Amino acid sequence: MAEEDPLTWETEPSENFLDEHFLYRGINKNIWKTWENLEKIYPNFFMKRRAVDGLSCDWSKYATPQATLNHLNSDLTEYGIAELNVGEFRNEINEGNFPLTIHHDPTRIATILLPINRAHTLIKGFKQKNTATIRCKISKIAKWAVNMRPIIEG
Amino acid sequence: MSKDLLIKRFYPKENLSTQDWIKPTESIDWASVPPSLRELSSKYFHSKLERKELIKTFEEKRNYILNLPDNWDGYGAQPFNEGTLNRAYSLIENILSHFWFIIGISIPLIQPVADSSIDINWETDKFELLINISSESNKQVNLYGEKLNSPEEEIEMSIPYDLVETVIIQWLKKIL
Repeated sequence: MAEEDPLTWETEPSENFLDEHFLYRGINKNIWKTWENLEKIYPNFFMKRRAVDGLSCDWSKYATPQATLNHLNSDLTEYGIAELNVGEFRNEINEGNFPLTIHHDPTRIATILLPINRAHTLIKGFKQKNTATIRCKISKIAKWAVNMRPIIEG
Repeated sequence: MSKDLLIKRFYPKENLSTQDWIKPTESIDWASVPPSLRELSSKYFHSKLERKELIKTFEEKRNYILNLPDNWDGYGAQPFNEGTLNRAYSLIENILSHFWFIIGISIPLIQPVADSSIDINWETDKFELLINISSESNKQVNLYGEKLNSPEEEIEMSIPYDLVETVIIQWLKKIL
């Protein structure tokens, strides 16, 4: 079967993110090493340098946790893959009245930081004034994807 | 403020004889403590041991965080500046100094965040508190705290750095 041309990928509307779907995000060793333990996910996982532009993650409709790890060109000694259930994420957004929204943003042309990736999704709505509450609440519903907890060497 | 508090440890007050030491595990009525004593500068009550522990913990974190390279999170994060860490340390020390004497509060986690800010994170069996110190000193401090199982005691705000210590100390006194 011929591979689909990435330039033909459509950007899907947010209603296509179903409650049973997941969002995956890699967590670098430099972050998880500062945690007390790996039983839970801590709030500093949920941020990026310019979060106002959106926080990147992968949509389970087009990705697996392993694919997310592969996109990072790494392994579990460097990255763990966290997952957020879309239904739980929406509940937190509604309960906390957070201004967060989910946007499908397929990467059709590779860049230095992002490989071609149909699953690429952005979480938007971060502002400097709201991150502590959001990160606290979201960290409580985040989990390691199955078999994607990082491996501590040595 | 008539809450009974427990002195957990045996702390010597600096420059005083052993007769002036506070007895351990003694339950006191907070209201019976004279305001002048409550407000005394914490330096008189700091346990040298615990302050040493804080400095050691902080120095480890400081070295770790300041040595994080470009793109340390894999998503383009930049290195940290020393000023952010200094502001974080100063705040932690000031908050702890108000509580060590009375309730023995733990040292929080000090964690790097990908926008070059620092998270000060307490997760205890009584409360959770996340204070985020921006890399830009003129930006407000964003914080969120909750007393476990008491949603009405939630605290959530963005305030100037100079006000954080007072606000947090008041909140902790209220919930602990």
